[in-house]
Amino acid sequence: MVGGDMLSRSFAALCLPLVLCSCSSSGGSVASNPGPLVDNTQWFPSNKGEEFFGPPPDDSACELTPIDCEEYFPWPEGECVQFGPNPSCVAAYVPECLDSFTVLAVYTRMRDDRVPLCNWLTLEQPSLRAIRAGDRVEVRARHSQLTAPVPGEAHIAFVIGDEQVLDYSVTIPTDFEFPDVVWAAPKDYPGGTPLLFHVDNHGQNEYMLIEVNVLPEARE
Amino acid sequence: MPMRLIALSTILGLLLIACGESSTPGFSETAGAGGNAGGGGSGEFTTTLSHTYEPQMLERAEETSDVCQSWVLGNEEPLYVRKVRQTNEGGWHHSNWFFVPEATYRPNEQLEGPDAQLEGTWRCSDRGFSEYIAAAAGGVFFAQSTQALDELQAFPDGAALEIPPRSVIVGSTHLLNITAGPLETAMTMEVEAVPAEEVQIRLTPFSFFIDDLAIPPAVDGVPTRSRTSMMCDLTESFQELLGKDEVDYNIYYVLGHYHQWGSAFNLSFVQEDGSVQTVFDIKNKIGEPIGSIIDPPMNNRGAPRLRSECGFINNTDETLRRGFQYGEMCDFLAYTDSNLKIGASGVNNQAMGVDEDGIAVFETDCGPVIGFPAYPDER
Repeated sequence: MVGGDMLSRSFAALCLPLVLCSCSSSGGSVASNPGPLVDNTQWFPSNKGEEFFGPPPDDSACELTPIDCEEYFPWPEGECVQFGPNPSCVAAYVPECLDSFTVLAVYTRMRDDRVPLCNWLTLEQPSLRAIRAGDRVEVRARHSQLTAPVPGEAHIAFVIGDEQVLDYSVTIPTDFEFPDVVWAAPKDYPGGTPLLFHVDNHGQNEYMLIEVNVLPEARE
Repeated sequence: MPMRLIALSTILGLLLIACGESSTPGFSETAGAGGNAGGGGSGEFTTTLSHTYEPQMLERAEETSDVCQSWVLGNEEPLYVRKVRQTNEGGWHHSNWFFVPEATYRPNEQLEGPDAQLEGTWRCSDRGFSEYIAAAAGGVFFAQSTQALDELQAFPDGAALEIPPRSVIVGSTHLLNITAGPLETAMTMEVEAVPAEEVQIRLTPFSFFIDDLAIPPAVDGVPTRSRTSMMCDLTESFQELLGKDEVDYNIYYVLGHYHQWGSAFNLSFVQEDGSVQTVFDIKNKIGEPIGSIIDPPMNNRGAPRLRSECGFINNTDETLRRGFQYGEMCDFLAYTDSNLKIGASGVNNQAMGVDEDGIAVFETDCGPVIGFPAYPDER
């Protein structure tokens, strides 16, 4: 009996770490690696995501070349842009310094002959790290007060691979808001998985992607 | 003269009417067409006065407005301010600071309780704070650029802003917490003041506001671009108030002001022959233009007229008039060495057609130019 008990304890001692390991990665073979999933200086325009956002409307437009930005553009490689107090620079998207963050700022301006309205924009980059099944990923965004078009609807979305993890819509006009989500990955996504950030139907406003992080495991 | 004082006070006040969180009067380092960033004077900073405002607490994803903070200077004599520097611990989206007499924003015991102090943190609405009243009662002191963690405002050597005795610095603050957790953050403000005998130039304000705005609406959903201007001849003011036949002054600081449909601002000297010299120019800037020091200061080179103009992009179905939250403005404040305080309004709006870029052009007449000598001993 004693021998059986010992055997049983030894078996348990052997198995418990395996069980814990299995729990911590929820079926994945590699431990989770919390940290940033995106680098906001690395976004580039993309035509992907139609299955999530639908096709761009016929009147969609976005001037992707920065205008009157000689002082700032090209953006410094891998760094955020710190605009002065009265910048003339107009850019549909820019990695902007905000406090200690580098945010992806999406600016829009109303239509004129030099500054076309940007009302449909999808940006892409490969993920910085792998996501394991069961990992929690937090997406944090913001929009400023939205004033136009009225009536209208603004849409912010974030896609990881084949999953739209943030799908935020709001009727215009509206006050500022911080759309965010914590998404639990149902499966593994390798590093380099395409990520999409999408904004549409916006007026003369400001949207931003603040950060996207794989969160550390929640402690009991 | 009393009528003039009242009228000017009103005009100065109207110029800077608060517009909720959207107006940003004050100073900053970047100049417009007139010059370089305002690091005027030597590069050193000698702290004469310093104050750290109470920390503000923000929850995650919280954005605050209607929070005012005050600093009682307790000065028995005028202060001559050459430089102001702010540093903060993050989350300060922007803030606008004014100097006002101590009596302007006393605690409201009914709303704030018996322990409220003149100095501290309070809800702006509890004390009836508006930038309109603050600018009229004292003047603009400092404007923090959007989300700037540290910032210096400096006038050129010899020039200073005079802060009257027993003044209070009051700021309306707009904070925005983009961190993933709560945020506790404070601003520290340092002031470099100089003795009166070191001040050669006491700066005085000019302000124009276009009262008769009529910004055309969008057509079939397409936003309409327009611009509206006013221009005033200052010859009479210099003759009558200073006894000078020539209009001669320098501009040290300019703040243009419009709201969310504004996209551009221009301030220019206009000569007798119609030639134009730009003092300050903002373009492609939707909402919240920020003031700038003009360094080196810009001389009018004898130009008798001063012209201000705003560009607008109206995406609404309505003609926009002068107004606060749902209206527009086209105002400016400039600090000069003219020894004159001047205020004027644009009236009698006239459509002038469309320019070569397809922009609808409107001009207003200069209403009565109201002014008085700022320092009679300096004529």
